[in-house]
Amino acid sequence: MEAQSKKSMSNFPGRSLGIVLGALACFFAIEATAQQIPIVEHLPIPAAQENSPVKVEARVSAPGRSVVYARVYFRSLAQQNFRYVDMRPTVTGYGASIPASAIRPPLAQYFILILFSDQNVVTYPERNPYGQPFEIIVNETKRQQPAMPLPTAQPPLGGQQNVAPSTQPEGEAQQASPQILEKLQRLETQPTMAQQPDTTLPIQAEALPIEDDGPILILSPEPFSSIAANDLVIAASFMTDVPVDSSSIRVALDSQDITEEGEVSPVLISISPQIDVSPGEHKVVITAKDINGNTLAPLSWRFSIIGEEDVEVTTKRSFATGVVFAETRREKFSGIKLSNNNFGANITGGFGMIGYSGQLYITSLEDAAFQPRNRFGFTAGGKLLTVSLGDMNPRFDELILWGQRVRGFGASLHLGSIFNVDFVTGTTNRTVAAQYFPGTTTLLRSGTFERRLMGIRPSFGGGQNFQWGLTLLKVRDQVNSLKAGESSVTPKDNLVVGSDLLIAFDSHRFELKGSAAVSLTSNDITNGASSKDSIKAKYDIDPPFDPKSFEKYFIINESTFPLDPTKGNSLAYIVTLRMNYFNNYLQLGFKRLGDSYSSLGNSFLRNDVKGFFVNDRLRLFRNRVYLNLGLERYNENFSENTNTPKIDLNTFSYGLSIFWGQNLPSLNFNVRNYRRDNNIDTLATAATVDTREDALTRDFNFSINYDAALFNLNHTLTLNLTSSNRDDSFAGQRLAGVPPGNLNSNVQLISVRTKYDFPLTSTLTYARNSSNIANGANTLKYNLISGRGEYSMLQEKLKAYGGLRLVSASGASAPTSVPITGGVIVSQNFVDYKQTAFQLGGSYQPAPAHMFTLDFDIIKFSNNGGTRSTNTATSTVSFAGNPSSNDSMIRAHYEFRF
Amino acid sequence: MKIRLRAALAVLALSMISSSTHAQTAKDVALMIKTSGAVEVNKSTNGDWQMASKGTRLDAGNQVRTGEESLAALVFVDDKSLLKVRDNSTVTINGKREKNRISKTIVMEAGQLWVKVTKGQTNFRVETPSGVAAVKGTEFYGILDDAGNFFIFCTDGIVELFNRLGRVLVEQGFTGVCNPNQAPESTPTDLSQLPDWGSEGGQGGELEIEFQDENGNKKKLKIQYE
Repeated sequence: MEAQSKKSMSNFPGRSLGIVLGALACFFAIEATAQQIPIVEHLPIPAAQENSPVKVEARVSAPGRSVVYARVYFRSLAQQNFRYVDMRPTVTGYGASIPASAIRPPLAQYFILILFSDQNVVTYPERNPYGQPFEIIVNETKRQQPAMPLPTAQPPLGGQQNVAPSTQPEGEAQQASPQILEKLQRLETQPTMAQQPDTTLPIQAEALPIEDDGPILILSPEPFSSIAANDLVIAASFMTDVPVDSSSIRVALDSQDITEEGEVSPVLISISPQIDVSPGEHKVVITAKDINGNTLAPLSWRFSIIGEEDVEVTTKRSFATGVVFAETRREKFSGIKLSNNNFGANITGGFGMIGYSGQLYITSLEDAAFQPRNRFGFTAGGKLLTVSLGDMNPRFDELILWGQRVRGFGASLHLGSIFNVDFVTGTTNRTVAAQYFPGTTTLLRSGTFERRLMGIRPSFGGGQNFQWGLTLLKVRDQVNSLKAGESSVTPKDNLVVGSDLLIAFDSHRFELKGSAAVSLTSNDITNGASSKDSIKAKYDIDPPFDPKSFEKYFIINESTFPLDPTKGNSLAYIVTLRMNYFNNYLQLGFKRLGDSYSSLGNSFLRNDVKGFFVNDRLRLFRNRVYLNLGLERYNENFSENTNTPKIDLNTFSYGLSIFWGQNLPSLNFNVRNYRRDNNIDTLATAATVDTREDALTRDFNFSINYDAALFNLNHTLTLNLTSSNRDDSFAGQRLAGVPPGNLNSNVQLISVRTKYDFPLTSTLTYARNSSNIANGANTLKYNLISGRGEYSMLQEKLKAYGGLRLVSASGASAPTSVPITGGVIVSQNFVDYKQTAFQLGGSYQPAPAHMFTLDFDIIKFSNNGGTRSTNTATSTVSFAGNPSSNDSMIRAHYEFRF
Repeated sequence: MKIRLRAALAVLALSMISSSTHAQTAKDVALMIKTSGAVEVNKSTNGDWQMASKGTRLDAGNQVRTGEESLAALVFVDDKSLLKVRDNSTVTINGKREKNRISKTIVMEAGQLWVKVTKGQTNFRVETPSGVAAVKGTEFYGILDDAGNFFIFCTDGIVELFNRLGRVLVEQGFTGVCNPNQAPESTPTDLSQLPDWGSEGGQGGELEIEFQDENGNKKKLKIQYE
């Protein structure tokens, strides 16, 4: 377990570089004028400890593009839906913490999603990240308690509501203030400077290192502590085999002998100084002899007296911690200059019973043509009431409101373990104005309606062993925020009502959760509510009330579904059972979401699906071996209300993890078989569309992590093998022009990180990625070799690093044909480039609170790829090559921690 | 013969008296480093309570009593083990010197205390009418309520809790409970019941922080702060 916990944080650049499968997705998303594939360096995290936050870091290199946002989507295995936290620029790239509440046995899952300024989205893993995310094996802590955060100075976040994720999540390790870090550094260093002998004392004293096991033990004040003058007691004890001669004991405060002011015994000296001890640093020196006349090793230490006005400042400072950062990037890509500036701050603290937290993020990529990229939020409160303003991501119910960003106001009221109320109101989308071609009324880009949300959840029970909650969600687009015809999407209205139940006992070894909800959605509220007669005439349904009179609460018209909720099409429910007994962590679950169920407060929900899942995690050999087994069976499009083919989704997974212990490698082995079958085996005679679907995907992952000492050096070895194969049962029978759905991809990664006897750390990485889609119609091979070294100087205040990265990529896409007069033009894209990147940078920490970082990247991009076009009408072949370039990037980052 | 026997008996009696005296009155076993509110100390057997303050030295057998909204923080002189006595509590400090160490026994008649024992070979016990908690290198809260139930909230290390009816090990994150008519039990701590006043008083509190150095290594520190 020690080895596993040691390895639990495999993050860049702490341990090693890693390349995930991002290249593949990007390659198939790019146009003929192929841009360089974004390089994202992230090493998947293999394991973590229960209820401990997990830091996810990634380094992004995307010449010619800026990162609009980077997010980590995560969930525990007990949750159906993902939440996300925004990744923020850090010294080393981008980072975010998965909160401790999501790190629960047996597994936590996550993936990274990055939006670039050219609107390209890259995910990691790149294929089916929602269905096959990275998995973190979560080890239980020795104490088996429910996953609740420990009391801290921060306000307890009521119910399921939480602040915008980039604030300090619940349970995150508290950042040490710079004052404490400075004290730690001083405690850990050995002062070697000898001081001038003090002739006022019978025994000359020198500034010696403080030794806990010396004959004189410091009792008060603590070395390097800061105390008020009226709290000062100078005391030390003598733990010697031979008794001390109490008459020989001398205590000097700043070279002034104050022995006579105190009480002396052979075992203890204590003094409350009667002299005025002024604010500032002071030194105590104690000397003594034993009864045989032998001089004991003298002892000296320093402490500080703080003035009255400083006491309050100190108190405030210890209840306000945080970080402020600023970053600027300047890039030159193919002659085009790009710049990106970010500024952010996070603060947490408290005054007495009130705690608070705040976050701010401002980016130059903020654009009124898109949804907000800036973030701000503030939360304050105590045990009874918490209030939030700004951006937040409330979680009321997995089926109803789960992590949707809301900018507005939120509050939580908690009356012990009896009754709670959570409330949120605000906007989830702001108005984005439509754009027209200059000088015309022709729409260039459609706008977005402002969307307002209100949610409330009263609940009974504290949530530790029992809680019953009721949730109401109301979401409506503001029709008047855009003019008619300015949006390609009609404004909507959504009303959802639901209930959830939690029963748990035996320290959550047994946990039963259930959630049910019904929804009403109107897809087009442009013209408001319809009349009662209109609905009756069209649908032969007699509404019990006039929709016009109900319009203020919900707009009912011909676009409302379902018009008759009694048929159950808009009903959704989920039930899960978890049991942790006899070394088994067993989970069972069943869910059904009707085809008409829709909640605009949870964007990730699939409707028209039902099924169950079972998974078990078996602990063997005193938690050194973990065996995972899982089975899922779902039916999509199960309802009989649509003509969409029903799809069977069956997944069987198994895996093995071995943590031998320290000095031995840890192993992870996982296999996941996933079958998707729509039960259509034959096509109609004159079919022009091939709707058949029956594919089996097998994912395999094997990894080794090993910390070893060789040649008196410490090495960390990481080996990761990933393979994914999708076998299309109809591969050889597809209609003409329809490619088979076969896919094959393999990734191999090996990384070695070495720490030397001098302050140098080196990392060597080799990664290879090969992909093949549609039986070779589309191929990609990608190789990466990188080396990086970090050297520390000036007691680690200054760090310099340099690296070299060599990348080569080659591949081709399937040819496409465009008919022309007299023939066709057959086009085929080829990828063939080499990239050589030099990186040089450094960070400087002049004081514990300040960190400056400067990065330079110089990239030589040699591109031999392009598009070959064959014109059969003229029998000509042309080749449009992709441009090569010399690119550069400079980044400056500053952090201040307090 | 009779004279020798009497002399021998006298020497024996004197040695027994001196040894018992030495065991009962080991001097300067603890030092009071912080007081808040009404804190009294009884240094004699005649029940004469005196106001205590920072710097008050305690011998074995001295009693400490706290009033409403009061707190007393003591440090033991051999290993800097800490004892904080909360309001409305009465404890007796007993200590027996064994070379350079003091075997400490806190007799609690009522109230709440917080203990942080320096890890080592020192014996540290908390005795109540309901049971005894024996610790070695640990941190815990001890609460004796009016009904005679003795609760141990262990926040670090291990505490052995026992009485005449049985014994149990209380580990970190667990709560031990016993009373005169009940054998000790250990259950996972209900976090909502866990006291957190151990950082009050004294020379500020103790902060356990976790941070990552530049190499990505996690460090956990316990540092006192003001």
